Amino acid sequence: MSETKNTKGYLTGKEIRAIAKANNKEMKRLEAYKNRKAEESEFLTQMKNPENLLEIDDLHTFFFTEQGVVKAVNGVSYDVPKNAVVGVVGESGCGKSVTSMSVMRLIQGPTGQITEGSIRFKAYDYKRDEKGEPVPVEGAEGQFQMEEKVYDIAKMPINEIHRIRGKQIAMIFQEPMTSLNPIFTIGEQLDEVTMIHVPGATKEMAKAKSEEMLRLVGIIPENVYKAFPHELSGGMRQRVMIAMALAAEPRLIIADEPTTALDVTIQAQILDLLQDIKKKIDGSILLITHDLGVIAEMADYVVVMYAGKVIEKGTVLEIFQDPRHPYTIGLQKSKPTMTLDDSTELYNIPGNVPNPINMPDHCYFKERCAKCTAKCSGEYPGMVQVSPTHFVACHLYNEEKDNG
Amino acid sequence: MEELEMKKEEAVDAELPLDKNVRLMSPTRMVVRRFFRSRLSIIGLIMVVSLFLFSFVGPLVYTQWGEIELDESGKTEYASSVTTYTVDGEEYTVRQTTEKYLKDNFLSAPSSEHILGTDNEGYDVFVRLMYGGRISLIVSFIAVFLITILGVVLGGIAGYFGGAIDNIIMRICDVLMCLPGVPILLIISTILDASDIDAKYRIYLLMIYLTFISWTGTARLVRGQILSLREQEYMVAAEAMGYSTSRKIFKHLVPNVMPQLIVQMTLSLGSMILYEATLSYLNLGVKAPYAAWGTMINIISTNQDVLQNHWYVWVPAGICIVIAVLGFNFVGDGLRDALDPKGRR
Amino acid sequence: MAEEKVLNNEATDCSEVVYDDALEQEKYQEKRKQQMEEDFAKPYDPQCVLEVRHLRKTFPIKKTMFGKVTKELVAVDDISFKLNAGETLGIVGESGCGKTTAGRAILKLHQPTGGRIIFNGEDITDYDSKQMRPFRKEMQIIFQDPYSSLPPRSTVGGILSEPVEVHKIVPKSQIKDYVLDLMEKCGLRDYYYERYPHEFSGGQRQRICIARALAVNPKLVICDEPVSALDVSIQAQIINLLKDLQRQMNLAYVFISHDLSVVKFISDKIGVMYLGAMMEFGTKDDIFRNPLHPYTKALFSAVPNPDPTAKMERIKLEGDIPSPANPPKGCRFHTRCPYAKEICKHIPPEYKECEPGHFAACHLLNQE
Repeated sequence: MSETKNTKGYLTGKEIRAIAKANNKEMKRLEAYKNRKAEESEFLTQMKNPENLLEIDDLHTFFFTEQGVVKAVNGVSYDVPKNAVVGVVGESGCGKSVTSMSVMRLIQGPTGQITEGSIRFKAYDYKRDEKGEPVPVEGAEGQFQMEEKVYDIAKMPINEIHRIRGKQIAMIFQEPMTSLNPIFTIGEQLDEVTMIHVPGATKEMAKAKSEEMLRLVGIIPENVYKAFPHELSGGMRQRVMIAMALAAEPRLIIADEPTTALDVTIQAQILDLLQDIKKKIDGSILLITHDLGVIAEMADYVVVMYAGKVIEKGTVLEIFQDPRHPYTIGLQKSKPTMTLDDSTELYNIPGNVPNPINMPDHCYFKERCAKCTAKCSGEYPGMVQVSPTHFVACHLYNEEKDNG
Repeated sequence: MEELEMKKEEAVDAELPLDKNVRLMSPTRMVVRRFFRSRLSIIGLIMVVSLFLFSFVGPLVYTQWGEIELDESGKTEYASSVTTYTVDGEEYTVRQTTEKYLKDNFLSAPSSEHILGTDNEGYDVFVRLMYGGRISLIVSFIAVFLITILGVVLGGIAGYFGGAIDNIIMRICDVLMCLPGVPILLIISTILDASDIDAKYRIYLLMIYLTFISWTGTARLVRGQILSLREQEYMVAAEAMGYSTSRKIFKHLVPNVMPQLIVQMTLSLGSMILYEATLSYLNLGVKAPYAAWGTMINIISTNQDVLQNHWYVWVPAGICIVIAVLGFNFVGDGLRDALDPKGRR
Repeated sequence: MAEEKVLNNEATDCSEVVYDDALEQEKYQEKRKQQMEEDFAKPYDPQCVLEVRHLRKTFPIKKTMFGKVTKELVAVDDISFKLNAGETLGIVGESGCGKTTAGRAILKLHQPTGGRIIFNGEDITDYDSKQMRPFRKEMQIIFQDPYSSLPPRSTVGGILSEPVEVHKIVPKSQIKDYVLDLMEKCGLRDYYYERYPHEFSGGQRQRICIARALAVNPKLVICDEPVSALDVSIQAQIINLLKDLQRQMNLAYVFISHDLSVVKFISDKIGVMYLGAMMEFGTKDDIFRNPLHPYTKALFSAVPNPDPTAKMERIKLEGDIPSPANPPKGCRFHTRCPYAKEICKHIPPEYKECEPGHFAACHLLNQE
């Protein structure tokens, strides 16, 4: 550093206090916005494209830490079409999980906040009267009128979030070991999902539903319904997690690294199961992983993220056969594959994944990029459309467009 | 190809600015910041620091009275009595005033001469508070220091070696934890009374006994921590490096137990002060004429008059004890939050 | 295809044989004992950096009140291999296959229950920790988790200079220069010297771990899943760094991983483990061009292919990995093997050389 005193590059006390002051103000404001009471009309909106189930539009999720504002998600936009699998791929810290957590509004406050942008989600929810109570179907007990509504999840107050969480959007986590409560049986935990999300559900209904779900994920219910989580293996637990996610019949399933903690042979089983389920359910899957192989097998559309931004998105064929962004290309080349010639050195992207504090204005990948040009020192590149479905954020293609 | 190679090289160098762009907080600053974020720990720190200043610097500044210096300025006590006689139906009232000259100026109310008055012997309460604080703080610091040393060594050995050694040490802990503290203290105190040991030192002997029964908590803590740290991969790495056992325990394990240890030490300072006060209150610890907070409160157990009419003799000592214990506990809690990396948000 | 044919022909014959499990077990043990004695008597190969003969490691899981072990978990059951300087042995397997235990047993971080470990022509199996001390600087380990493998309260400089100091690699006055030199070699910048591990990302931490292991100039490094916890782009860097350093310092690696593609890239020889036992062992070409064991084949086909157009036929393995505490009788793999036959359920297959230098343990191979 230029200052002689501060040789280790640590923050000075003055800077820390300035950061804390600025953060506190922002955090208070956003926390108040999150906890406000609001009419339904305030967070109802319209989809840009009616074919989509979820539209994430210019989402910003920041973490106000003591060391500075971590821009974990910094202007991310992508869509999840109906009945499709969208794979989000990226390295640790690229914001792929934070995006999905934002969709579920599971970001831990007050440090973590959605600061900007919208998350439009087409829900199939109960019709509500003026008081906000569901309107029952006349003549049929325990049934309610349903209607399609578009919520802007980012604008929803936190106490309304139960409308979508778990019921409309369900989540499958990475760690099957810790995502089940060890003191309840599998059956109890599965039943709970139905009991919570279906108004007027009875125990028998819940049990029947749970067993159906277990069968769907390839488990014989008799063996597992009364078992405790620790009695099951990792693969079985992940199946149970999937069953739990499916139990409320969500329209969107977010699978956050569903196979990362599993062995290859078990991973293959779970992937097969997800493939199978994809066909059976009426909904979409948002698959988040760092494993390109998993994405290639599962996804229809791929979103590549880097340091809190989407750098490339397109269909799975476009991304894997015609990758445009140097990062996407590098990522695919640096993964050793079974067919690779191993006498040479493995291709690698130099440098490290940047720490998303104090990001520069230019392209975040510039320092690690082998194809960097003079233009890259300029402002952050915008999205360039290379085909109807293929977008890339890189100056290389801007130029191409300019020239031709 | 070569060009690409060159570009790669450049890129490596270019990585530097982005990396340096991110400036973190230094570890010490992080701890300090987290400590001062909580208002309670600041209050605790103020309490503790002011008590220290009061007890150790106070007597140097305020030299008007000594610890066992009686105010011999004398005191005149007036007693008046009214007696009524009835002689032949006529009432006579005799008012009698006795004037007593006493050598010591005891139980005088707070005044400019005695900030908090004097106690029933004629000692200055304010000055004795300072000296009492000295005793309490010194004694509890020594006790905690000894407890920590014993606890770290025995807990460390038990945790590191495991097996039979662990078993023996832990069973000793269990036995010590079963011993009823106060009755044994009473017995020891009686023995000390019988053998004539200077009143000044008996409190130290009692605290040594307290150390002897209190190290178990620290030992358990250290053992537990070491058991979990031993499984950490950096300890396996140290093993693979062929470091000697003592190096592994004292250079690698103990520094990592330090945060918890510091917290434990601060918290037990509070309880040691309480112990000391209890002992002195029960007249087992520091004996008159020497001052201790407990002894100063002890006056009320024999003298009802003081309890009812002379609050300034015993209430300040009580407040001091409360401040000390609360202060240490607040600081301990603050340190726990500051040093525990899991508490990071 | 050829094997499937064999399988179909033999299936009918085998089903009629009735096996006496106890007898078979006895026979098997007898044979194994004989084999071991034979192997132990063989002279040591002076060229090998590391030779492992019938390594076995068990952990007690049930004890009687008097400390007698009534049930044990066989974490590593009878593995043998040789490793020359500058070579890499890859060990692949799923969780619970004993690959980590094997790595640590070789370093004697776990005392082996049986078998011999010969390091540089010296049998170190029964050495105690004092006798091991001079060997510690010859053999090192790199761990999977770069977060828990660095002491949190030392600076990078402290972490790297400690082993140099303890083992007196260079005189005291030169330690800092030596460490800075080492840091440069491992791609660490000099200003990291006074920083703490928590300030670094996973990749940089793994570089620190590598630097620490290499600080004492070892001949053998056990890499226990060194890249599994890292991002893909960082993985490639670390693999290249490891390969580079191997060339420079003529290191022998035992590279433990669950990731076949990584193992393929870095190894010269590969061993495939399942539930504590070696299923197949051979050179990289042997294993990848001509895998013999059904488990190896299944592992290969389970790896997701990052090519959306290639829809390959997958050998599906049903069920979960059995608990290593209760391994199945007979062949360990029979519960999940798509080709399992009656014999597999009763008799453990012999681990034998099918081609020169290519070993496998499977009954299907015996029938050809």
